[in-house]
Amino acid sequence: MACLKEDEILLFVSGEMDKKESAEVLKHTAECSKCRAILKEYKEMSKGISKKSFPPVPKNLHKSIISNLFPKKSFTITPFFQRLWIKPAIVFSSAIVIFLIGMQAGMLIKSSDLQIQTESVPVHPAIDSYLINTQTLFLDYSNFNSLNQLDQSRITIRSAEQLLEKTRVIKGLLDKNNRELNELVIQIENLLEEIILSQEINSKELQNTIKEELIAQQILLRINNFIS
Amino acid sequence: MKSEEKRIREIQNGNKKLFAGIVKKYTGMVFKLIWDLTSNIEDTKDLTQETFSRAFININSFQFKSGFSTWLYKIAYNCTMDFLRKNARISTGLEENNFQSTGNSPDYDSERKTKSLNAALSTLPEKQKIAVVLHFYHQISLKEVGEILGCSHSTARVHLFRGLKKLRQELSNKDTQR
Repeated sequence: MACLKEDEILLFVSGEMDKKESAEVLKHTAECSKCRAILKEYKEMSKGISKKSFPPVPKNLHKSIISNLFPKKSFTITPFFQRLWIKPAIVFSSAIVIFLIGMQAGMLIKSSDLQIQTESVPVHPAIDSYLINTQTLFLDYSNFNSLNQLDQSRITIRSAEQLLEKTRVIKGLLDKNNRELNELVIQIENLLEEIILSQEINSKELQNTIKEELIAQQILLRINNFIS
Repeated sequence: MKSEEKRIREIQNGNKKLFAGIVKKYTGMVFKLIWDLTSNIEDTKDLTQETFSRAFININSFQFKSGFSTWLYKIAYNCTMDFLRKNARISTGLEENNFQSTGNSPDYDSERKTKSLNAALSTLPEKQKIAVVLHFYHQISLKEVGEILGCSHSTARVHLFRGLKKLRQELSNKDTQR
């Protein structure tokens, strides 16, 4: 049998040859050392290409692409001491401390003097169950620990989509003058959007999901304090 | 309906945020394809971004006639070729294309051979190089390689074979010089 043409060997290596022709190539190369050597060279070359080296893909490239496609509206996680609620919290705790010191010193302070004026918030009747559902969702979200729970994560993502709709309804019902509460609801809205965007939760993101869950629980607690 | 097809149909129907999952899944592969053409990290990052922006804007023009990855690779290829033509720059890849192989093959495991192969690949004309890399690294059929390059199946095969022959020549020249 005549030697194989180079293109025949290439057809074989590239997987473009049918079974019958492939068998003939194998039969020939078993007997012909010249063709066998060429085939070996091309096989090694294709194997080398299949293990080709690349620079590492920048770690957060997909995140920056996503954030460019979907620019965030207003949510940023501000440093601890710059957060909106820190100042009122400090004032409130200081008031408590002064009150306790005053009591100990035997000072008479009428309870009416310490009444805290809370802002009135129109509350949607379903807000309680909304808060419980949202708390559960964030808890579920942070509890994923492996890729084997993808089905569960998809269920969570669907719940997040439903809760996002509810969050938007609630946002529409809030008193626009209550900036802090509006801000908190926007933060929840953004965190829900993050969950929906994540699609599939993998172990690398686990740390972030736990952090997000803690942030979300704090925000929900504050919303609850506002309305109760 | 496959989950990816379902997801793409949902995106086409207006649930645009699901596109984030597509970005996550394909960033690495798109990045590698573009890298082969530019051999420059910053350009590759920008062009990967540009590829996904174009895909996002034109998602409704995807008609499921080919695989989604083929459609996306085609955008990446066109995007990169536009960029290279505009900047009148053809990559040589010789300066930066010397990364360690993660493979452990007894036949092709030496660093020297990996470097030689990368250097030889970088000397190929764009279409030949992409045909070789798409077929053997990305495991894409020659029919789809043709779709990405905008040519027929048989032309894609010609690009692949010419590329392989030239690679073999380059590598044997290097061995002779040594």
